[in-house]
Amino acid sequence: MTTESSAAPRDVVLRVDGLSKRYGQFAAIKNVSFAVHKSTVHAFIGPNGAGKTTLFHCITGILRPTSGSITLNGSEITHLQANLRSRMGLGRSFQITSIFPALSVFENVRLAAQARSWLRAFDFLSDVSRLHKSSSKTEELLVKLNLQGSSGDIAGTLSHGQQRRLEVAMALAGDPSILLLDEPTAGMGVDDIEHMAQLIRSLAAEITVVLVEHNIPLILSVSDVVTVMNYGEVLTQGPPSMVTADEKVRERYLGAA
Amino acid sequence: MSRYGTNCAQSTREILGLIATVALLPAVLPSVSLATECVIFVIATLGCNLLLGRVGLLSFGQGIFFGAGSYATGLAIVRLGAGPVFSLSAALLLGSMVAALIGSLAARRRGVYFIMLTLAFTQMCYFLAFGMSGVTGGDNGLLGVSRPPLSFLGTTLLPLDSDLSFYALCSIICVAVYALLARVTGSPFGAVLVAIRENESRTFAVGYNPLAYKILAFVLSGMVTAVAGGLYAMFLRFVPLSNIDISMSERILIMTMLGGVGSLFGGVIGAVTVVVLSHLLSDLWSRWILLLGLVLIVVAVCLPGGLWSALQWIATALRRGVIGMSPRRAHLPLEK
Repeated sequence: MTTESSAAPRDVVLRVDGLSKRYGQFAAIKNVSFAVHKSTVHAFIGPNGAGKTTLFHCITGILRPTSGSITLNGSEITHLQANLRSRMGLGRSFQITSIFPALSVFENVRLAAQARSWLRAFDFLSDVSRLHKSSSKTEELLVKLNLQGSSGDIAGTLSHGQQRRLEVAMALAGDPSILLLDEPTAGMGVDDIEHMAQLIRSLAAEITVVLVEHNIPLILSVSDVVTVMNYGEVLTQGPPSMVTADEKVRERYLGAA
Repeated sequence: MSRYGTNCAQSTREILGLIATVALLPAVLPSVSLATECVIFVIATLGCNLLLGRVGLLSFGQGIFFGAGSYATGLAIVRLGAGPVFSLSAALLLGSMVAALIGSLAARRRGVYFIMLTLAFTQMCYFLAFGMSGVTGGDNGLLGVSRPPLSFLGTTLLPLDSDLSFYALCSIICVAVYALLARVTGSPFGAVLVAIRENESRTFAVGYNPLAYKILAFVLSGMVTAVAGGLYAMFLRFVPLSNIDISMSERILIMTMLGGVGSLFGGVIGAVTVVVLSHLLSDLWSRWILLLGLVLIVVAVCLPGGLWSALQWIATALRRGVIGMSPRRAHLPLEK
């Protein structure tokens, strides 16, 4: 574990130990271990079916792992529900865009922002438009994600690239300490990809980012650590330069790409 | 307008519209009894609208809550000699408890499975009421439900013997329920209910527990529907077994869908339309339900947003002056 040995344990935001997910005889991920360090961009690459999204689902609580453990900021979260993980500071975006399509862009983000307060989340007597703290957080994020001009638009009418940015805004609205992005640039145009790359780089100054991507140039330009997965296992992990020079990686993934 | 439901100004307009409606109903309808039935079913439809319109849950369990409220109120009056406040509070309490139980089981499943579970519960509760004839009166119904006066410390505030005074009580409760639900739908809690309808897994991922919200929505819906059931028991002066039958669930659902779930006011339109149409059509033909079915088919095919959407279209057209224009310009789209 290159990354674990080079940093103090207190810097570890997310630690995954011996994680496996089986469906009968088939193992989608097998004994996966890694540590993600504070304020870094940690990317996962690998061919389709390598188990990247299954790993994401296990970390975010959508799937329950068969064995192994997940620790977030020192707290064990292996069996915690997804909504509680989100409240503990784990934000995520989905591989297939997942927003509230019939609501406005503003309302999408505000819903995510208001989830931070238990009291507000169950408040059934106040007027939702008077949630000043959530509203100002929403406005701030819409500017950050360059969506301020579409604030009142119905989310389902946005372009694909805008919807991907909206997803990131929703994930950031919960003030996460770590953000998991599942193929954030999938289906995006060139300009949108560049904007997303800039965004990921800027986010790393404040929070930790974990991403799954197929866009290798993007990975190489934004990542501090890359983990390569193949057939549900970790093939290798380390800095981008080391990973791209790895013969096994070139042979099984990059060479074939 | 917020997509979550209604903003304050619109809620106020709708509540004023409801007050005007309940004030006019006894004058325009053939009898105060018919107006009372309308108002009681408006309350029941509001409860259903919360589940179907906000959370997107098509529940066939509304008849259970309605029946539970009817029996709770009926038994409180017949067995305990209780007044209307206590009797209706009993309906509210039993309705919320039954809804919490059913909601916590049924809301764990989605789509067809959820619908099937609510159907199963409705059938179970019907046969439970049928079997417990010593308590519920079984097939004969619970007889002898009176309308005790509304009193405070021995002083009668409102005698409910006359149809008009009972109508006044139902109307006050109806407006209060509407105001409460309008508040709820415009609140942060109401916003989460809509989010669950739109994308439940995303709602979960951003930090909410959809099951908890769905159970709470069930409880709220159960309370409101049970109060309507309690008032219906007092209105009929007995509790027929049909109050807890699946046909009651269907009736409430038809009213809700006919009116439209885009707004709480759709429930008002739906309930009044179905109650009045049932009355008029039953005078014309003994197979009147067939005609009501036709009306529902026409609305479902031509007006997916229900009668409420038709009213909105007319209001928008009037505001923009399309009606009254030359036919050449009248076809222009109303939106943008």
